[in-house]
Formats: sequence, structure tokens, C-alpha cells
Amino acid sequence: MAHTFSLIDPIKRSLIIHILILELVILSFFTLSAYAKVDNLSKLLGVEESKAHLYEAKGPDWTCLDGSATIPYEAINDDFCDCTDGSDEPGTSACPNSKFYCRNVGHISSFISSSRVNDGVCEPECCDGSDEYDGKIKCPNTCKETNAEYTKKLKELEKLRTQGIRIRKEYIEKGRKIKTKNAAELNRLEIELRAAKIRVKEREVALKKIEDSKPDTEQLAPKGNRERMKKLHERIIALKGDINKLHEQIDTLLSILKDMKNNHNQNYHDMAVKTAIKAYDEFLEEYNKDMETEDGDEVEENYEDNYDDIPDKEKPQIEEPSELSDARDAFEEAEQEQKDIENHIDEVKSKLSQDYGLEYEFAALDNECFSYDSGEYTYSLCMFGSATQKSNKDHSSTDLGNFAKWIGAESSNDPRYYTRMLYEDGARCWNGPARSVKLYLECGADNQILSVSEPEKCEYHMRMISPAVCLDHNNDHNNHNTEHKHDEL
Amino acid sequence: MKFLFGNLKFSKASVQTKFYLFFLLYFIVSALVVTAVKRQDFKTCEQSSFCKRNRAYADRLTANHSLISPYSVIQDSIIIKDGIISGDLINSENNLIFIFELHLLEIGAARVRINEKNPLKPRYDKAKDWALVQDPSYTLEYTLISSKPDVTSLSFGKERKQAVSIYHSPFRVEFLVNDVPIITLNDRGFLNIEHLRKQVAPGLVDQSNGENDKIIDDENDLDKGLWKETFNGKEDSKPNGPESIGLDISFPGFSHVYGIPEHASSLSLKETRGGDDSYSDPYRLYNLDVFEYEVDNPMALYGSIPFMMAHRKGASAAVLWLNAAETWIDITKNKEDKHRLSSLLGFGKLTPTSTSAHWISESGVIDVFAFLGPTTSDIFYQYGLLTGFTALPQSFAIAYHQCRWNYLNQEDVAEVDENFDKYDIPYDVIWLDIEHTDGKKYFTWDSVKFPTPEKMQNNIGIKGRKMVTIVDPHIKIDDNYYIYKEAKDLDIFVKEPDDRPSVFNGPEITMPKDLIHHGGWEHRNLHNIYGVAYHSATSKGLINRSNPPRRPFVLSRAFFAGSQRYGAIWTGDNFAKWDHLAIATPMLLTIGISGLPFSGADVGGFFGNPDTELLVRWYQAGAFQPFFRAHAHIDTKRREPWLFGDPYTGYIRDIIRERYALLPLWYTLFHEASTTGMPIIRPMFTVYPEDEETYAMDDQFFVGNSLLVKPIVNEGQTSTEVYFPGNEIYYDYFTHKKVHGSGKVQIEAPINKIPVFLRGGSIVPKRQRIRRSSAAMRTDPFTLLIALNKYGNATGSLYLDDGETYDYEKGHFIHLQFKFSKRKLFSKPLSLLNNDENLYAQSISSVRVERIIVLGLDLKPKHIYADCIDGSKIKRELQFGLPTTNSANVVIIKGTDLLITEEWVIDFSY
Repeated sequence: MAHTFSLIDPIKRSLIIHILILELVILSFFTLSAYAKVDNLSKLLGVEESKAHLYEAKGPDWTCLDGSATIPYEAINDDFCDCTDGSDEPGTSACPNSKFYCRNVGHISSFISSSRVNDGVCEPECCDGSDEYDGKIKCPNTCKETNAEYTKKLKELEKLRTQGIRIRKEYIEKGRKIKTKNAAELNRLEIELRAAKIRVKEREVALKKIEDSKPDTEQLAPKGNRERMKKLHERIIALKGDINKLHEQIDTLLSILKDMKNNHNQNYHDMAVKTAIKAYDEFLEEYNKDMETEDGDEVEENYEDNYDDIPDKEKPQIEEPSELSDARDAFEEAEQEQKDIENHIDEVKSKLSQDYGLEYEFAALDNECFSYDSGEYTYSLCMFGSATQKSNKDHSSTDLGNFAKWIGAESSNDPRYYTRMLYEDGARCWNGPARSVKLYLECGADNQILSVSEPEKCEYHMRMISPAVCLDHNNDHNNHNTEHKHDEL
Repeated sequence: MKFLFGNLKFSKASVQTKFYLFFLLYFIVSALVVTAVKRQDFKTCEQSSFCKRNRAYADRLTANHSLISPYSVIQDSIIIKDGIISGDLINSENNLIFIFELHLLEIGAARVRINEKNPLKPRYDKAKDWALVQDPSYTLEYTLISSKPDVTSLSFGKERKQAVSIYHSPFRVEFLVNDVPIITLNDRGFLNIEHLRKQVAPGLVDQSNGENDKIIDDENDLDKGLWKETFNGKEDSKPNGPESIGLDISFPGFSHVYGIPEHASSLSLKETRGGDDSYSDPYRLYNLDVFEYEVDNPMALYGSIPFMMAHRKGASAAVLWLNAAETWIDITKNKEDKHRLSSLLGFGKLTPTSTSAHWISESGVIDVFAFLGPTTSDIFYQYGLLTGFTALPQSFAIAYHQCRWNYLNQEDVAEVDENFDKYDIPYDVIWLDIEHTDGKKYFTWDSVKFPTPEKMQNNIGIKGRKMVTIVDPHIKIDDNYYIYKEAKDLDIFVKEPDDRPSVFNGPEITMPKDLIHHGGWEHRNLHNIYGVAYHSATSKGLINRSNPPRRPFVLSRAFFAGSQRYGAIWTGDNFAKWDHLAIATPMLLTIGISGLPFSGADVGGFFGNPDTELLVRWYQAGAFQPFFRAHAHIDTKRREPWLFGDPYTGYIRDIIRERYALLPLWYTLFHEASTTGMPIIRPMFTVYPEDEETYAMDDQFFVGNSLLVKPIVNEGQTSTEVYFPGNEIYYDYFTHKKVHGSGKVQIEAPINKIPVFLRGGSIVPKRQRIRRSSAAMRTDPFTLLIALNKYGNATGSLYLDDGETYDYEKGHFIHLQFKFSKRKLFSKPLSLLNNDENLYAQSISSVRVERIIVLGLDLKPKHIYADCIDGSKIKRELQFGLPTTNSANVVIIKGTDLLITEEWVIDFSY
């Protein structure tokens, strides 16, 4: 919203300025001890220069800018709203929908809503103080200071932006390299995979051959016994797996309950919750007691000991002829190799398909982790990875989610698209949704999380600066940003 | 700390400087169901032994017509002196003596007190110290009509239009107005005073304990709870045994009774002992924190006002049952009055329905006030004189409040504040809920989240906005916490029966009844006044803190009769559901007619997430509540007005702006309430007392006498039937168009519109400038909206003062009477001081009337002349404002230089 004077001829311009200054001087006489009604305001008060000609007197009447009505010229700025578009009251608060223009000589001109005219508050947007003229309050002209501050801040921002842009370029370069590297890697891996597959096939054939040629080897232990032991051993291993799984499930449930206990709303007075917490505490006490005297490990150890005591020949694991076992080992090794390559390929492919931004600038940050200490918690976030919240008291850690997508805008063509990331499907909140993080990125010379908040239960917002979002000036998004910064001043 | 105000959220009890320990982790309750309200967490009458006993007592009398009340006046014991009629009663079942007093009061009411003559120890009688402004004075305007052996009758009041008859055997009191009985006590014989007694060892029979044994002989389980009872595993030790009181109070000839808040129920109270659409349990008064309460239910909620009003054509009456213990009220309606009523009253073809209430309280004395009207406004005034009128709030308090549990930190507060400006939505107050404290240690501050509170407050204070903080009335146990330590050192905590400080662990999520307060009183006696005690202390503390004193703003969730003297209340933790939006109207109307007009329901619903339509509708309804605040639970999604996008954000903005435009009307109504007791939002029947159609109507109401409002409370609804009473002209408030037809009319109500109508005959003062806070409107010009009635007349008023201090008590205010009659509009100041002595009038001496809108003129005026009465300005012609219409229906007068503080006349000539 740059308002250049070049549109108006200089003489006219200085005339307008003079009229306005004169007007302000006159106004200051009206500032009595109480505020005063201001009679006969200039028809140009609150009008921007480019529209001044629309407010020139061309007879006794004047037509609203939307053409909705014709009113006496005197009715402009008479502190009564006549026009539906509010155009007759540019300088007062009489119309709900009009804008007041602050010239802010020495700084950047701006508009404020007419509801802010003579409301007893010096609007920061009107550094010239022209928005308050009825004497309720005196607003000093601070345009010089404001402008100095603004220019300074702008310069600082500009400096940071310039740095950011430079770093971003490096990121882009780095990203390009990563992309090329990954593509090459994929190429290589695919070739390797083909080789690996052939190897597996070959070794499988070899193994089969040996197996077919060697009938059952002589048994070192009675067959039935051995078979039974083998089965039991397998069963024990399966059961151990089950126990581990159950332990994990108990741990999960305990962590859910712990979460509920710590995070439930104490003022909710939900008896079901309170009962559950009490039951959890009791259970935990019992459980911890049990865990201390847990004889599970003993059983296991006993089993291991006893198993070791069994004479080797009784054991189900029968020594195979080395030829056969070698062949099997070779086959399994090849199979594993193939699997490894396949996994590697998936990894590289997923990286190649990851959306690293407009110009692949975010690839350089892939899996870089940043953290933020809020006092109570330390938050950490790995780009395109996961986000966690760690208690600074008991160091318990909560999963806040994994990278899901970019959400800065509807369409990826919109430059804002790559300014906001969503991490989701974190640990579920008690009585609430799964935790998630919205990461808001702003241009900066380095990568840093500035703040973390939880505006709604379990929905975290992180503000972060990063050079990756420092775009060039001629970009829409940047202009938008500058304007925003300007508003804040 | 300029903008800090206290706030009271919980109801949990204690007296004055007593604090109540609260340690949340130690709840032990066995219920386990996952739905909304946990009914089983709260007692039914059946589970409350004294309620059960009194109900059984009543049932016995009702079932057996040969049984009569055993209480009678002892022969020749009646003494009449200085407005007090006193005497002794005897209970023939146990020969115990009781003393009764009947006070004839100056305020147009009477008081009946009954106590044991020689109680074992004093019964609790201090509820009056909290509820009443002062002990009311007796009138000497009375005449003894008859003094016979069976009845004593007096007439009283200046014109002797009121009368009381005391029937001796059985004891019965009847109040009459113009010779028609309107209130009777013990008409049905339910008077029951359980005398204090010593516990006798099991197996022995206490000779003095006769009344229950004889009347209730075979119900042994009724005796179970006499000396001890348990609820959900919590034991009430009941060291004093049974001490309940019960009495029936009937309104002969009245089919509708109202009041006894707080219940999520209809305005006209329902029957509780059978009948159509009746409740099975009595209405209960016991201040409780009910999690996700149910609508259409007589269960107790956060506050209690034991005030009941009855209304019919030509008469209104009311009672206050002044008791702070747990109270249950059974309501029955009789089609025919078995006690001689139909024959006595000249109702013609009408079959009168009488309504009777059976009041049951756990302890204390019988202390009943009877307000004799005859009109509803008389009753509001009489009740206000007794318990106090609502305190005139600061002007910001009636503007829009933005609240959430919780705005997280200073940045959050700044962002919310900025967004209101960005979207040009006015608001006056942002709230910080309990998370602003350091670990819920109330009166402390979380300096991590809010490191520079003064700066934070100044940033919003510059724009005329305020900040309110919330505390809960319990004290965390922590030796490093100064308040805990002070209270411990002073030994002022509420005590367990064994003298230890009490820790929160009671039944029904509140304090156990056998805890001991200051003075040795058991909690059971005073449970319902803990909230008002806390409210009063907070309010007085705030007044003392500022010099010159500024009016405090203290919002409480708990309340009792008299709470209106200390501030506002809200209806507690409601739900983001349509039925909760709907129930807010009858709840607020009920609370309003019970002397507490400054009330509101959380906009949006506290629990849960309202969808856009519900939220818009809730804002529309909330804008016409006396207290207008959006609030949300910590687990809910953010719902600040700008989060919904256009057009919805615009609809919310529009209605909040409309609230601000109408602030002059609201403030004037608050002033009226603070001097006359008139409710601010009024049930239809109080404005049209002769129209029976309105008696049970509680989905539409009047703001003052001028605006008829019907909130839309159903999903997807875009039109509704509005009842237009009084054969009067009504105008659409927003479009200024006349409503066609009267009585029930179908009205369009698209999502952006709440049906609001101007009643013909009213003048509404407005301020139409859009500002960001009410403080910024202080010197804005006025608009007068004049809605003429069918005779071409209208009246209205405007009250204004500095909205902050008590200077108005010294006359620094303006009070204008507007009158439109015979095509002339008069503005007449009623102020006490001349403008040159009146500091407030001076401060707005150049504020103009910028616009006058007249609806319903029969002929459009050709010229409009204004004339200042003081003659300082000559008669001059005013201009028409745009847009002008060709019809006479809407005439807009433009921007005059008429000053609001001056007296003037405007002549609308042909």
C-alpha cells in the first residue's frame, strides 16, 4: 500500500498539506478542558491525496462516492453519516464503514478504521496524532521517531533477510546435490538389487540340490524325544515373545493412565476419571510390588540353566553336515542382502518423493533436529521426522507426532504453502485427540524454534525461524510479510 | 495492578475469614458411569433422610383426611404489640412448646418465625445476617379485626388492604389482600419441627420423641438416618440427630409459581408429586458443582435463592424461606381447593388451580417472609428492600467479556486483544482463568507465563479494556504458600469434627455437613451461604482497596438471597448443546425475578465444541443477557469470533456491536434494577400481568419494557412463532418495519438474525458509533429510537454516570425522561444537581443527540423544530436525515446540536 505523491502535482500537494496543517492548528484551539465538538471540519480531513479531487466543491450539493445519495456539500465531515458507503465522513467516526487517512508526514501514511477517530486512544498507525482532534486526549506527533525506529528495524530485517536468502541459496544448491546423489544412489541400488536377486536364486538352487541329495542324517537322539524338545523349545521362545508383547502392552496402558492422571482436568469432577485414577494408583502399587518380587526372570534363568544341562546330543539342534549348513547360510545371507538393498531403496525412494519445497531447499534440513526449553518441558522437532515433548522434571517423553504434510496454503503453487508444517498422530491425549504440532516458519538467518504453545489441548504450535523460507523481494509472500511488519510498528 | 478484579467460581462453603482446604488427589468415590451428569453422585430425596421423613409425614396427612396438624396455639398466649403478634404453639403429639412470631413489616410484607421455646441448644438462625440488608422495621399501621378463641385477625398497611388471620387449632396462617386469601401457611398441615434431642441408647424409647413414632409408625427405615447417614461411602456423623423443619405454603387461586433458582428447568415451576409433566423428586436447593448438568431437572445446581413468587390475574404474592441448610421443595397443584377456596372466591366460571409448596430444610428455624404485592413490581421492590437491590456495576461490566480457561500467556493475551482490533469487534474484558496462578495457589501469579503483568494490563488498559482473574475458593496445602501459612497460623480453617483442618473429601463434591465453622456451627446449617460470604468479602475487599472507591466487579457461580448486593452470577458450567442454549433463557429469567438480575450463561457453552450455527445463535442470545461473556473449557477448541470466517464472524461482530449500541439502555435498566428491584430481562407475565397466555411463556422475554426478544435455540431453524401481547404495535428492531398482526405471528429468523422487536410506546437510547470498548464510547453522541404506540405516544429514559465510582450517590449523574406525545418529543432531566454542580453532566456537556428515529407517525412531518427550554438557543428547524422514506413510518432526524444534558422539545409539525 505505497502511497506515492508523484500522482499528484507538487503544487497541489503542498496546498493540501497546508490546508491540513492549518486545519490541525485550528483544531488545537478547540481543545478545551473537556473535549469539544468540532465544528466545520475540513472537507478533506481523513481523505487520501489521490482522492482529494473527489471532495472538491462543485456546487451546493455533493454526491456520495457510491452514488447512493446527493447531499449538501456542507454535509461532508459534519459528523453525521449520510452515505451508505460512508464516503461523506472521511474525517469523523460517524460512519461505521469508513476509513480515516493519516498522512504521517515523515513516515508512511496509513488508514485506520473510522471507529478509531476520537476514541481517546492515540493510534500507533497514526504517528502524526491526527486521529484524535476533539481534545479528549492529545496525541503527540511521533512520526520522526517512529520512522527512525521503523527504518532501523527494516534494515535489521533486511540484513537478516539478505543473509537468509543467501543461506537459502546454499540450501537449494545442497538440495540439488542431495537429489542428484539420491537419484544416483537409487540407480546403483537397483543394479545391486538385480545382482542380489540373481545370487539368491543361484544359492537357492544350490541349497535345494544338497538337501535333495542328503536324506535324513543319522539321529543322535531318539527321534520322538528330540522332536518334542524341539517343539517345546520353539513354544517357549514363542511364549517369551508373547510375554514381552504383554509387558509392552501393560507399559502402554500404564503410560496412558499416567498421562490421564497427570493431565486430566482436576476441576472436571468426573467421578469415573477420579475412580480410574484411584484404581490406577492402587494397581501401580501392587504392580510395582509384584515387579520387585517378579520370579519371571528366575523361571527363565532356570530354564536356560536346565537347558544347558541337557547333554548336547539330546538337544534338538542337531549338527548338520557342514556342506548343507554352509549352503543354507549362503542362501540366507543372500536373501538378507537382498532385503537390505530393498529397504535401502525404499528409503532413498521415500526421500526422493518427499516434498522438500519449491526449490528443494528443505532437503538440506532433512532430519536436522531443533529444540526449545519452555521451563517445564523441552520440545524437540526433527525436520520431516518426529516431534517430542520431554519433561524437565521426570524426563518422561511424549510423542507429539510425525511429519505429515505442508499446510501453509491450499495449493503448493502458493508460496505460503511451504511456511507451515503439520506433524500429527502423536500420543493420544486423555479424553482428547492425538497430539499434533503445527510448525510456523518465518524467515531468519538461522534455524531456531522461537516459541511453543498449546492453544488448544494437545494441539501444539511452534514458531520457528529458518533461512529456508527467505524468499526474494519480488515475491508476493515477501511483500505480504513486510506489510505485516509495518503494521506492527 | 489497576485492572485486577477478583472472581469467585466455586460454591464450597465456609464463613468470612475461614478457608477451606482442598486437596484434589484424595477423592474417593465409587461411581463409575461414563455419561454426562453423574446422577448417582448427587442425592435424591429418598437418599436424604430428613427429606424422606418429611415427605412421608406429608403423605400420611394427605392419605388420611382425619389426621390434622398436631400444632395449635396455646389458649390466651397471643400477644400483639408494636407490629408483632406472638404466641406459643403446642405439638399435641409430644406436648413440646414452640414460640411463633408474626411481624408486620413496613415494606408491605410480613414475617413468620417459629422456633422451639426451650431448645436443647440454640438452633442456627444466622442466614438472615447474610441475606437481609438489615432487620426490617415493623409497621404500626394495623388494626385488630377479631380476637376470637379460634382465630386472631388483623388488617394492616396504610389503607388496611392487607390482612392476616391466625387460626388457632390447628395452627394456620392466612394472608389476604382485599379480603382475598393469597398465601396460607400450614393449610395442609405439613408443619413439622424436629426438636433437638439427646440420642438414646438403641432399644430404649425416648419419651419426648413422639411425633415421628406416632405418625410414621411402621416405616422403620425412616429412623435409620436419624443419627448417622452415609452417601456413596461418605458418612455424616450427625451428632445433633434429626433437626429438620417442614412447612407447606400455599397460594390459593394461583396456578403458576416461579423462582427458587437455581435449576435447569422451566420458568413456571412443575409439580413434583404427580401430575402432568411432573418431576419425581422435589426441587432441591443445595449449592453444588454439578459436572455437565442435565436440562429439565429439579436437581440442585450452583446457587440457591429460597424465594417463590405466584402470579395470577389481578394478584401476585411471594415468599422467602430464609434458611441456608439443604432444602427441598415439593410442588403440587390442585384443580379444586379442598379448603373452602372456590366457594369464597368470585372467580365465576374459572376453576381456580391452587399451588402449594412443601418446604423442607435440614436444620435451622422457620423464618418465612410473605410479600403481598399486589403487583409483580411491588414484590420486586418489597423483596429488594429486604435483601438489597442489585449493586450498580461499573459500565464495562455490562459490555462484552472474552473468557477462556485459559489464555495461556502474555503473548496469547496480546494476540487475542489484537485480533479483536483487527476484526473490529468491540470487547471490554479479557479474563484469565485459574491457570494464571502459581500452581493453583490463589492470589499468586505465574511469572513464567505472565512475566510483566502490569505491562500486559496497561497494553489493554490504554484501549479502555480490563482484565479479570478467576480464583477458586479453596487453599492449597503448601507451607511455602503465604495464604495457607497465614490461615494455619491464625487457626481459621474450617475444622473436622475432631478439630483438624478440613481437607476436601466430601460427598456430592462438596464439604461434609459435620464440619465445624467459626462459632462452632456445623456446616449443614449454612452450606448455602458460603458463596455469598465469599462474594461479599471479595467485593468489600475491592472497594476498600481503591481510593476513591470504585465499584467492584465480582462474578460468582454460587449465590444466595442477597448476592445481588455484591455482583453478578453466571449459570455455571453449561454445555455446547442446543438444549443448554434453550434452557439459559428460563434459568436467567428465574434468577432475575428472584432479586438477582445481573446474570448470564456462558456464550458458546462451557463444555464441548459448538458448531458455527450454535455459536452464532448463542452470541445472538447472549447479547440480550444482562451478563454477556463467552467462556470455554480448557479441553475445547478455540472459538474466538474471528475463527469462523465470513459470513459467520460478521454475524458475531454485528450482534456484539448491537450490544454496544444498546449499552445506554442496558445501563439505564441496571440503574432501575438498583433502585426498584425490577428485573433487567423480564418474563412476559411481568410486562403483561393480565394476559394468561404469557404465564408459562419462557422462550421469549422483554429487555426492560421496550425490547421483545426471542432467541433462536434450535438447529437449522430459520423462522419462529413470536407472541406479541397487548394488542400493541411492534416494530422489527433491525429493519424498523411494523409487525403485521398481533398475538402469535410467524417471524423469519435467518442465521444472521435474532427476532427482536420494539414495543410500541417505547423510547430506546442508543449509541451507534462503533468503538473498540465501552470506555471509548463515553463521549459519543446518542441516537433516540422512538417506537410510537397506537395512540402516537412513547416514553423512555436514560441514566448515565461516570460508570466507575460512587460519585452518583452524591448526585453526579444524569437521568433523563423522554416523552413523545401529540407530535412533540420532550427531554426532561430528572437529575438531582444542576448542571453546573454536576461533575458528570459537565464531563459530557458537549455530547449531542445525533440522530432521532421515529417509527409509526401517522403523517410525515413537513418541518421539525427544536426548542431549548432554557432559552439559550432560539427555536430552529432540524433537518431530515438520509435515507428518508416517503412513508411516515420511519422518520430520521439528522445530527442536531441538541445536547443530551439539556432540556428541549422537538415539534413534528405537519
